[in-house]
Amino acid sequence: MPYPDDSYDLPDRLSAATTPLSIHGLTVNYDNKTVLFSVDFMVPQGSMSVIVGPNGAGKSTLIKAALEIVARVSGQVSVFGLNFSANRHRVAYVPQRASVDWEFPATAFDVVAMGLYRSLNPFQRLNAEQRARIADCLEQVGMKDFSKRQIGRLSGGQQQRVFLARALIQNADLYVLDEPFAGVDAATERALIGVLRNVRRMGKTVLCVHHDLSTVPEYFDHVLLLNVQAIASGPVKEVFTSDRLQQTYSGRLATQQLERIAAGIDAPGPGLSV
Amino acid sequence: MSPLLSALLLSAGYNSALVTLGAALLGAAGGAVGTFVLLRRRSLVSDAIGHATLPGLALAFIVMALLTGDGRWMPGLMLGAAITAALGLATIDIMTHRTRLHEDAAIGAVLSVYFGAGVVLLTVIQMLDTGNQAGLSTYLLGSAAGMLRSEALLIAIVSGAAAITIFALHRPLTMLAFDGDYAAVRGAQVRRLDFTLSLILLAVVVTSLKVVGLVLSVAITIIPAVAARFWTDRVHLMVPIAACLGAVGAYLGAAVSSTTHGLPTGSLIVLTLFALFMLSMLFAPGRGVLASMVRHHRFRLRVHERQGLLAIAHREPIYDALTLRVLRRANWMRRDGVPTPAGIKTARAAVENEVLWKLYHDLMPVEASEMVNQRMYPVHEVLPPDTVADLLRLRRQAIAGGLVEPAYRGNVPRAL
Repeated sequence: MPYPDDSYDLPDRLSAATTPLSIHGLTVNYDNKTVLFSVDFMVPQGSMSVIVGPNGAGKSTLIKAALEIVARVSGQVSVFGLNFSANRHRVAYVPQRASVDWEFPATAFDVVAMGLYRSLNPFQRLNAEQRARIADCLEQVGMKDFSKRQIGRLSGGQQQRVFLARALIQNADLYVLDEPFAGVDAATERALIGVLRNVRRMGKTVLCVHHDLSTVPEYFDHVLLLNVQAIASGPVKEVFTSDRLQQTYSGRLATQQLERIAAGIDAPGPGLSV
Repeated sequence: MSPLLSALLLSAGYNSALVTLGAALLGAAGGAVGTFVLLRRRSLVSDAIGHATLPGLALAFIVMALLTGDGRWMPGLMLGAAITAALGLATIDIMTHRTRLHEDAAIGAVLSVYFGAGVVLLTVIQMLDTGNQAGLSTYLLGSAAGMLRSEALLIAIVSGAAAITIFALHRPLTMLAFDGDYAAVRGAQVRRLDFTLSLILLAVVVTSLKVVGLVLSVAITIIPAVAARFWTDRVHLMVPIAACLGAVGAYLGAAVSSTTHGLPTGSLIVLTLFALFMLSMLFAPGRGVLASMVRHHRFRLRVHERQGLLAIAHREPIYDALTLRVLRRANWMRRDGVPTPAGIKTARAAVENEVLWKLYHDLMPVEASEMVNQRMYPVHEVLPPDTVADLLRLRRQAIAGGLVEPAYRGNVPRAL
């Protein structure tokens, strides 16, 4: 379905074309269960955006539906003003680490080379420039010395770094990451967020699914609170409040946790010494 | 020259040379397509396809026998086989996607039902008094002997086409096998790719019926790929290795069976492939059994070496005979048990590395537990540079804070 539709006037069309991701009325069912219901969400250009919510809130599903991995029942998604399929070259996707078979016969180099998929024709081999770019992307995530290692022999954090390098090589405008910090230590998390901040500094947009509420104010500036429906979305400073979080998690958060998070908004916690 | 040697050297006549080469090409195609079928975890599907060819084969034979009096025309038999095999594939697909059944259940059901139907049709053929029935039995276990030139050519052409298609699609297929969702996001046509892979598999299996036979056709798509996995950790090398193994296995099997009439080609090919598989499993460097035994032994020595060095550093006595032997062999300890200067120097480095690993455990507990078997190696060989920098910084802070004694200063450090 084309979006924006004809009722939009010109300035809206222009702003739509610069909006990395905008979602309207998105509904997704698995079998007979509604996983997402009528979600609206807009990721501003140049933002570090985040989707948070409890388990089963549909966070990953939202990303997968936006990227057309999962079929949607209704709703419109536009990526830089067009259908995702028309703009897929501008999007880099980092799937959950658990979704992959790490025994697969591939080295770190091979995984990053997958990022070049669209710039290679079937019988072409990697040229020197492409090999140099792969090495460069591995270096950006600190994995240059491990390019020949089989991916299953890397630690979880190192695997996540390789995934990020595969996204970097696409030179995309929107980076979509599904739980990039799951099963990763705080130190690696800082290294990864450092790379993402560099990406943002170059004018790109980042969207993460994230499960650790305490680091949200520190890492991100735009948030969607999600629990099947969109509870709230907007700048972290305005939206990421304890009552909205309590609403999102249906009152299941401990008070201390909330206080800590609320405190984090005003003063970024220690450990930000990157 | 012995008949076997001349068959191997392709000098037993143009016809048998053609048959042997056709079989080799078939083996190569089986290895190439089998690699992706294996990585996509669909190996058993090829067994179902093989068995599901039987009713089609039998029906085609009946139709041709009734129409022309001879049911052995290979292209016709292949077409019939392909039709019921495709039906079998579709049945598996429907059972897996439209019901709650898993693929293994669907495969088992399709394999047995289609094969059973085929056997019934075979008894019908036996009651028919026509059509040169003897020709059909070769399709069960394969027979290269007495194959027609045109048949060998057909096998070679289909196999070559299958191998080229696989090669052209190796990038998207690799991506699909690694992570289907990622492949979809990147714009690969996942359903179409899966369908194409099934189609190529179907073509290879149907083509292999005459040479390998339908019961054993699964072997040429599974065994070369599994054997190739031992030799490499990279898909783009695994494909040509599997193709070579498949080609060699099929070549040898076909050549040997062509020397004596009545030797089942399929069984010989399978046995040859199995021998290649055993060789790969035992002797492949890196992933082979022997190599991992060597690696295991080296690791054990390394552990002893590390323990010995730490004991030297901590001025503890060493009793373990193997540890002593390792240290002496490296010239780190004299025969009388006194460490050499080189030994003391290495011991300090070992202590240093041990301290850094300990800090790594404190800093990154999750990843450290995943990297526990790498602990014998220097941190900078197995950890990213920023992590190593973090560890060194922590170490400096700890020394400055008086929490650890510097391992470098003074003589051999005491306890840390």
